[in-house]
Amino acid sequence: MAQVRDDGFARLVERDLDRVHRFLHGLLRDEDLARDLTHDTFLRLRRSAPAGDDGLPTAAYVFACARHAAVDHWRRLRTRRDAAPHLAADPAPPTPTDAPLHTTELREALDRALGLLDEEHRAVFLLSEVEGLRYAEIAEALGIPPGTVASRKHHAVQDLRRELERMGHAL
Amino acid sequence: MRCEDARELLTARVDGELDGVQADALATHLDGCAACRAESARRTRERSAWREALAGDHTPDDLRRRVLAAPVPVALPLLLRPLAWAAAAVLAVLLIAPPLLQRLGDGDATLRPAAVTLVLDGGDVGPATALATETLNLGDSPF
Repeated sequence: MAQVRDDGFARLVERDLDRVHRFLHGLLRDEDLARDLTHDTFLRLRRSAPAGDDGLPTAAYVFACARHAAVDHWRRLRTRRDAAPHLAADPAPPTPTDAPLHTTELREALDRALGLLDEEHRAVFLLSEVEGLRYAEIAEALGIPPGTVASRKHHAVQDLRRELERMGHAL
Repeated sequence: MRCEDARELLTARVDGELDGVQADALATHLDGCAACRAESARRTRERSAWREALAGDHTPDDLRRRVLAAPVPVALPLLLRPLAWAAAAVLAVLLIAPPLLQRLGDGDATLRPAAVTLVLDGGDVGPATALATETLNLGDSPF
């Protein structure tokens, strides 16, 4: 399979930068970190992404790279925490947005509720609900069976709904 | 079908992920279950509202500029890679050979086995051989 060409990289950034940044922000819950790892993800993609028929890597490949960047970060963090246990991640406030007030309130409630999910369920939820990937694409990106994607998505929805109800944001 | 099983299928249905057999089974259940029909409508509303709430952000311009400025990787064409290895090997020999020959030529016989060992171990063998040893260390090579 061919590599992404120079002109393809600009198209890739246009297609996926918002999605990757949003995914990493939701997954990591830390804007500075999400920016750094988004940058790292695109560096990796620039170096070694296989290009498909349209000259770009698949969405599954792109999100797999993004998640690997997050996993690498967690690994480094664990090593540092083992050495210095007082280091703990503080959840960052949600990114400011121009959305209408009711959407902003829901966004903040969802952000808090998402923070209560474990990383595996949060990743599936974000890729499916927010980024609109198919279950098969999510399975490929995360290296899990499609049936597991369906099950994690369902449980993530149930947990989020319960938490939003508790916060007074039931729909 | 039990309501509990139907609820998991509902999540997948709203995501457009059910195959024909599952969709038919769920439709049969929904025909006779008002609670699951209400649940289906709720999941549809939720999905739309949650997506709208979470998907509105755009990447800050400074990050976009930073990403677009990522350096272009320099990759040798596949056919040239064996040549690059051969060139590296020749360069290594050229760097290693003169100082060794010089020292051997000076008649210091005790250097003969030690020099080989030191080069293979990557030990402290002086600037020229250290450079040669580093040149031979192709673990980080871009080739």
